[in-house]
Amino acid sequence: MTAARPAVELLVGLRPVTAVEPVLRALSRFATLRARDPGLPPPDARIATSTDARGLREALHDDAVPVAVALHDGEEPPAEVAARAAAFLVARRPEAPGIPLLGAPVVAWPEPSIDAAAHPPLPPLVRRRWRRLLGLPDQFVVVLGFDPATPLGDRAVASALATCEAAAVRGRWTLVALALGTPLVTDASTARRLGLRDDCEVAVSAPASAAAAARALALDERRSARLGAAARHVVEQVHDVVPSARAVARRLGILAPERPGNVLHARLAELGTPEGAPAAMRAVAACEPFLSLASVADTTR
Amino acid sequence: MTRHPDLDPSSVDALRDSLGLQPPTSNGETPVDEHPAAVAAAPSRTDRLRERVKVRARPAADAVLERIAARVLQHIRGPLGDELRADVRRLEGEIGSLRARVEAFAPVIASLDEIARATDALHALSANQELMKAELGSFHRTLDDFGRAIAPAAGLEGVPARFSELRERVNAIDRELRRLLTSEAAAATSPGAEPSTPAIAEPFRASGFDYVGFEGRFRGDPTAVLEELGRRYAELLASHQPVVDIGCGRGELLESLSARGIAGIGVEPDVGMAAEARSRGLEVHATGALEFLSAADPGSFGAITAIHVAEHLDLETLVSFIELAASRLRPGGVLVLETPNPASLVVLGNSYVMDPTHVWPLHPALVTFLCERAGFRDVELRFHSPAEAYHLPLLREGPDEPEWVGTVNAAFRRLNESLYGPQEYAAIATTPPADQTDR
Repeated sequence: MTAARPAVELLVGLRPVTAVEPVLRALSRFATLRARDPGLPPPDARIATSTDARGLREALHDDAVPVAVALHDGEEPPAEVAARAAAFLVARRPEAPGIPLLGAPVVAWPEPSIDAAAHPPLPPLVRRRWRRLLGLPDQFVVVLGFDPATPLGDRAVASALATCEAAAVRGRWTLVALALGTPLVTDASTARRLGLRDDCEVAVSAPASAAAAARALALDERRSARLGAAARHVVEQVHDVVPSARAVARRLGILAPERPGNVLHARLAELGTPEGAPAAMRAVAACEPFLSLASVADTTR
Repeated sequence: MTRHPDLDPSSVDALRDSLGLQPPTSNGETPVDEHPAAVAAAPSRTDRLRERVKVRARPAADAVLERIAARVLQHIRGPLGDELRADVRRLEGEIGSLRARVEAFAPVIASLDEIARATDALHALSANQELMKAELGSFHRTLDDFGRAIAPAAGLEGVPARFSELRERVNAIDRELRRLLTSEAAAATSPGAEPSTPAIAEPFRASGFDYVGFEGRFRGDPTAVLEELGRRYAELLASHQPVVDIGCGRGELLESLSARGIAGIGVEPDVGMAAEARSRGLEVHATGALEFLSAADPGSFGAITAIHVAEHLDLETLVSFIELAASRLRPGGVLVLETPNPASLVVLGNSYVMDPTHVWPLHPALVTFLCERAGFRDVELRFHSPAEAYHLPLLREGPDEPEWVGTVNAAFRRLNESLYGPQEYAAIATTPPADQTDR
């Protein structure tokens, strides 16, 4: 029997909700999102997509249901909202990394963001084998947003980025390319916007020579492997929206808080260690003093 | 190993189409994923050379290894008992069957993987859908609020009514212009002459107030009002002809009565409106009511109507008007005085005080008294348009309901009556029959 998914009610105002969409989509992994409907039973939590959301005032006075409120572009919440909200959601941009100090906890979601788990990385060796298997050219470089662009339909772009040797990309596909661990050439403004460094996560090139730079990168196996791995790493650390959604869910009490014990069990599960296996028991026993300390700290907080 | 989510067959086909490639002759092999760390230590040229040498040497080395293995096996087999060999064969069989079972499960695991991905996608889609629903709901409510906020001021409750009001406004300006031109011309021809000031018209002209525009906006749809008046009085007036309509405006009521075959005469102090009415073929006198009635012979008319006129008159004029009406109606004739009902508090507090040209609220009892004192015999009061929309809803009554429900409902009924009673009334006063006129 599966446990009932928690329900989160959306309160929407006049401001566009586009900015909050990615974090809400990611949140749908942990909870069922639903529009405001007085006919339904009370939700477990509420999220207002802006401070002018309809029904926010009443929601804030409902002590049984916590409310998270999204703030836009350095907006300061009204006093009542600041005093009663359970959490605030703000966009975090590489060029403006500051997060406001507010009464309630602030959860920042990255902008731009991507669901990194939806695009697992492919190292160069695996790309090569897929290319061979799928009958794609062995030397295969994708150019998007630069001239001459590879003629690809939208449907084929992700597959092309997943299998190519290297790519020169700017625009909306850049984050997908980074998440897939594609050795990437991009222009300076894109790199700046995404907080990427030349020769650390990407190769920065002038637009006119981006395609040639990508072809050169494809020939340099060591460099392309290093850039691809670093690109994936920066996406996981900076642009992945799922951790933000998980943090929101925890703040709203619809997901168990992350404690050291949970982290240990999660890592053991990732390694495929069965529960009760000797290795797992030894790991738990080794961590026991720290876990006890953490639980004492939790209770005294 | 499961297929990468970005390499599903359809998108790969699309990629192949984009690149103009043919699908490969697949041998069913799937590549094995490797950890990125393994790739980070990619082989150098020397390593690759070493690898090639290994590959070249592998056939010879394999043969040597096979020979060594055979020798080792021979040495091992010797000491092994039959029982142990049987166990090994059994275990090999079990391993084989287990492998087969694992392989049988592979598609299930793959499809579970697919299901997990599809579930994620479904959740994301449903989140988007709910977000759109919430957004749409909010938008609807905002539109409703916006509509409610601006409709009364902007007249958006009915676009035709708004157009009608604008048309009236244009007409009013036109009339005012003509009046000014006429008075200028009159002043030019007879410099010493006083302009005529009809008694009833005076309040309408106070401070240049646009009464026609005001009435157009707040009195309601003119067509609907006219239909309602026809429904109320046509039958009564049909048997009391000719009808004199005091304050007839552009003669809408007269026209409506005429369409029913009822003869009528209009009296309208506004020269422009009277001219408009005349242009429709109606007999309308551009004068004040007192002047018109004073000039008429006694017993000339079957009925006199004054719809929403009396409340604009001061007491002295009103008394004179009712007395004149009583004398100019023939025996058995009727005077119809329709006016807002101040006994209904919602009227007094809203529509009555909203009109700045109203002089004094006329209680039904006062109008009855004035008519009777003027010589009318029967004064009937007819109440119209109860403000039912405002009524306090009554509680459900029945044998199973508690006793206090009846008490509360009785109180609510009394409140409804005094707060939200009929919005207007008509005093229909009849002159005595011929044989009783002098009594």
